[in-house]
Amino acid sequence: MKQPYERPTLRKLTAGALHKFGPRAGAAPTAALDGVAVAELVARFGSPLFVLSERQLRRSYQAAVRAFGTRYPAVQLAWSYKTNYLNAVCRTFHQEGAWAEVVSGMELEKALLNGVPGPHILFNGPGKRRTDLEQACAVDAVIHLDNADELHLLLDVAAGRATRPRVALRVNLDAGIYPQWDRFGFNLENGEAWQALGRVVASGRLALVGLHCHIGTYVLQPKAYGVAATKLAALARRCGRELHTAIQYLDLGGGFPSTNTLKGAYLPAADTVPPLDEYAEAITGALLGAGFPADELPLLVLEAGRALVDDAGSLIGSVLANKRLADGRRATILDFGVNLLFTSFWYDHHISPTREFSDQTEPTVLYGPLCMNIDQLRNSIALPLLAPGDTVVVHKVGAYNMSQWQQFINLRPNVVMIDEAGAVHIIRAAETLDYLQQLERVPAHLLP
Amino acid sequence: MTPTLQSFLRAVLHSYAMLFFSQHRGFAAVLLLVSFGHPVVGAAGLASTCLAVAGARLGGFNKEWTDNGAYSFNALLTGLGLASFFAPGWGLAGLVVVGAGLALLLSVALGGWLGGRGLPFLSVPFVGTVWVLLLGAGPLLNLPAAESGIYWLNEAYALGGPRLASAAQWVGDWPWPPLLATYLRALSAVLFQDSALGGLLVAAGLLWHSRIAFSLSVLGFLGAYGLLLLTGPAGSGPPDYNLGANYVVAAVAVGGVFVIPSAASYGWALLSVPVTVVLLAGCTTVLDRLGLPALSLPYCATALLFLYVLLLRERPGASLVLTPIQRYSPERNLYAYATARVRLAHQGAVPLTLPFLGAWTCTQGYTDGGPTHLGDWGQALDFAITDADGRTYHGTGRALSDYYAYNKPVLAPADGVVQEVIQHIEDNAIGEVNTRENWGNTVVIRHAAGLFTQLSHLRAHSVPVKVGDYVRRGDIIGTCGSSGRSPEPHLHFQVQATPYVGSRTLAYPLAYFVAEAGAAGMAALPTQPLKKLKQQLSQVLASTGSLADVPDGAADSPAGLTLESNRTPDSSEMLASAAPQMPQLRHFAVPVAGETVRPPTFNRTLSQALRLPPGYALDVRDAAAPAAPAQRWEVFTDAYNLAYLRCQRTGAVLYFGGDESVFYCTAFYGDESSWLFLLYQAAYRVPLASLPGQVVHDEFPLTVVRNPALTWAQDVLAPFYRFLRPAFWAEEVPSMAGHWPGGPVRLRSRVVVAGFGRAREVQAAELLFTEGRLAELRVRRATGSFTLTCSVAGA
Repeated sequence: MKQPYERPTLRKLTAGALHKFGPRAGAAPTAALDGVAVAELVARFGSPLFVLSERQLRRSYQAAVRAFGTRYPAVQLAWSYKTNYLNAVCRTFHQEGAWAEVVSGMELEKALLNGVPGPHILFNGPGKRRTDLEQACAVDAVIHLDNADELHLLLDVAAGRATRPRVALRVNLDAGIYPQWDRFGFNLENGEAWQALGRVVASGRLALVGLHCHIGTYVLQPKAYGVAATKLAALARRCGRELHTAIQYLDLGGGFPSTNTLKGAYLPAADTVPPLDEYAEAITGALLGAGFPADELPLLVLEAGRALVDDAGSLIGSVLANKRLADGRRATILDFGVNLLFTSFWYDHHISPTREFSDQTEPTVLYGPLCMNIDQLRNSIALPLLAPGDTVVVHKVGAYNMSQWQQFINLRPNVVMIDEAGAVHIIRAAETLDYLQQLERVPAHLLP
Repeated sequence: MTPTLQSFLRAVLHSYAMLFFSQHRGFAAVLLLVSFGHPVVGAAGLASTCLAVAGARLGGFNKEWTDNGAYSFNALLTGLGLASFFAPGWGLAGLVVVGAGLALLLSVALGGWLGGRGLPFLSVPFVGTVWVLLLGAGPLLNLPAAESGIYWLNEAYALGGPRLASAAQWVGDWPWPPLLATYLRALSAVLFQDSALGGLLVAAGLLWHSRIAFSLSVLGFLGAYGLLLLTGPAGSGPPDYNLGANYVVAAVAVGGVFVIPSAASYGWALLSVPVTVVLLAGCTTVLDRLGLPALSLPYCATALLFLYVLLLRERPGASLVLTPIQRYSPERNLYAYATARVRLAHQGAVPLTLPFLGAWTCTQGYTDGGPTHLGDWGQALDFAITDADGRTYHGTGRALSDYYAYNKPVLAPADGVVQEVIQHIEDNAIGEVNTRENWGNTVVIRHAAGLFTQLSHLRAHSVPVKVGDYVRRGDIIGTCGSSGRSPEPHLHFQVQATPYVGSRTLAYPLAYFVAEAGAAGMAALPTQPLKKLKQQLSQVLASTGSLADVPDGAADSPAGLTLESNRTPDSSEMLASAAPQMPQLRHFAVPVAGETVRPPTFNRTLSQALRLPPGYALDVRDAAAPAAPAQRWEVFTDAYNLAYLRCQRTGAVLYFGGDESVFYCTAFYGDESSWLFLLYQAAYRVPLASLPGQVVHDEFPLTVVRNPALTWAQDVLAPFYRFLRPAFWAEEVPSMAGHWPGGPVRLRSRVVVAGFGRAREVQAAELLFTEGRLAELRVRRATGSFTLTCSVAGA
């Protein structure tokens, strides 16, 4: 059989430390996703294409439940809607038993439409409007109070209601990580949180049911969660003791990392990110040791998003063109850019070819199709010599991309889900120009 | 009528019913009426009873026994007896007073003496009293003998004129079949009557009270009759009616009252007949010389003998069960026992719970095919954590930390004292076993005398407790590891009667857990590591032939080793047929291999609402008449620390029990038109853990069936076969609002009586629990619908 032509390359020899297997040469191709050939997916649904694995969604959820549930008697995950609010994804998690964590009125509506009972919705977010609060009260969602003005607004909303709205207090605290996230909620160390708790309980109009804190995102120190859990538990016990209010749940937020490598990281994430078990160990160890009586342990709520969905998403794209930059570097232009892969601003995504190549690779700059200078996916990645028309798979793109993507220069493509039986379902159809213009109105004087 | 007088009269009536071990007031009224067949005799009996009841109340004796007539029925018999022996007059009146007092004193004394031995005193006090009075008072007072027994027509004439006399004569002359007449007169003789009509009334009353007692009375009579016919002309012929009562009452007592009615108890009753016959003949002979009547002595002797030997059995077995709680009706005793035997079998067991958190899979159950749990060591459980694919690890599975179970907390299954701690043994590499230190790191906990649990294969140096520490259920006593005979991290859990590491196992249930047939089950589980284990096992067997973990059973027969290969098709079959099964709350059960089990999460609302501590009271109102005064249901505990709800309006009592995982009603006594009876049927069993789609089943005692024709037919057959099955269903109404700890919970329950292949709904109910209390009870029955609202009294 005739080998496909590959043009010759020149490359500076940068041999790493040798070991007995020699340096890994070439990238292992990813020819199929969940047993469905990439070529088939592209043929049926076009390129670019987001692919979600239902199997992996469920496995990730179950792994998280297992990690925490085998260490602590009462655990509840609340699916963080903003991470990926495609209904199929949300409903998969809800089917597994997840509650919903929402941060806007729109997400609240979305969760309700997905069949989540109101009491199972945790309403976070720093920017709640009066109508949002009224809606949350109406469906008995738990409102996570972010600031004093919001508290006063809610007291106002609660004034005429028959049942007391249920609230949890968002607390920010020093968990030993830098920079400390202090923009969400009330500060613990300076007494602001305690003052707010007193206000909530004294008002008599609100039912205080939980405490919440979110120490950051992509936090690599499990110990920080242990510190946060200890402080939150102490605050909960103080509420019971001094305010005579039993805190029913402690929400340790999310922020658990996935195995995507951050830009600038020296080692790949798979080697540096602690497994979820270590976070579970730190949190549950702190709670079990906090001194709660055995039958009054509060429910542990976690708002995992990224850790549940990132691994389940992949993005298939195609090579549009290759070119040589002025400094001699090789550049490849793909049919997706930062419009679809928003997370490439902070991750060095793992990208694989989809067919076998020779072992020869070349450092390559990956560009998207946008006519914008910022549209660079990877500054330097060792890829084999892709030709126009070749496809690539970007791994672990389930989190944030399908909610932060933009309709900019290009329309958004199909999103499919491969179910556990291997059948492929479109869960969001590719956008059309009609869809894009549907809401536009042209003033009469501009019409012919 | 004042309540005091009411309860006094009730106690008097109960004394009459007590002659047949009953509390049936209708039956008592019949007996009272029949006793007035001889007005003087009847009056003496009534007076004597009233005196005894009054005496027992004044004396401050046991209230329960006073109220149910147990202290006064002997006085009743004494009164009846004395009036039959002596002619009316002041002398008799005085004698009756003395007799009533003596009978009461003897009853109390014998009750204390025999009661402590678990035996009834029957009518022994009556026999003693009458003998004493006959021997002592007769000669002393020179009382004339009664003649009314002979000239009873005169009495009828005096009482009701010629019409009554002729009616009485007509009845007396009625051509009763001789066998029937003898039976009826024997029954009437219990009340010192000799009248077929009186006997007929007594028989009807007995039938009304209890079909089982009635059938036993016939059985006893026919048995004696047949026996005496067989003994031939030398005997006294058909039993004398006067003493025939002995056979009848002995059969009832032995076959149905103090023993749970069953085919065996009927046989036991029949066996008592010849003994009574012999005793009767013997007593009569001996006592005649003393000039004393045998009275009911033969029956008392037989019944006490037959009960005492049952009491002395070392292995009581399942037949001839002594009535655990006397409900004064053979039917009630039987039905309550039949359901309680199943429902309350666990009472007294130490509640053990799963020794871990979260969902684990039982990888080896009780001798149902495990490779290592064999012979005397078979009643043990192995647990590991599996994922949806049935694997116990992620990644390559070559490192201990790849295994889900590794380093997960292991908990104390119940309160106890740490008996033994071994934690120095290093964990094995995957696939290897340490047969020298077979159990690996182990904690043994003592929960009660002769009840220990052993948790093995813990991670090295992971045990935070030391010998002698007191641990509470759920305390962490180590983490899961892979030390000892453990090719991969798993937890070995066994219950044992001795405190040593590696003691033989004891089959013992777990108090509660949620079980789910494993999704991927065991299919993928015993692959590499277990194959390796099997190899090593056979090597060890071949070389030494002695094993600690695999004792005798496996060493004598290679069957132990083939078990695993036998199991594979079984488990795959099980998987093939396994429909997606709903998780279920199990109560006092043992997990089986392949099941995924986890500790239940309790529903806070239900737990709080059904905790019902003593002193807790609910005010219950009819929603249709909110202005009417509320009925109060209050929680009390009895002398045995059993809790019950008592309706203050009707005095009805609802006994209940349960633990953290379930609430159930155990018995209901009293007025069945009381609202409390609705609660009994509506909340017969309530699981305190909410599981999606969970349906709870339970079985009612047959006493809840209210169709007389059906129940009578069933009652007659009940000791042998039960065709009516009253069942209870309950499920939680899925709430659209979603569950929140402490949120409202709605339960729907049904009572259905099944029989002859069809089921009929007796009651449908809906219970609403909010804010930690029962808030509303809606009931639909054939007789109507009720909506009751409850509020906590004093809140």
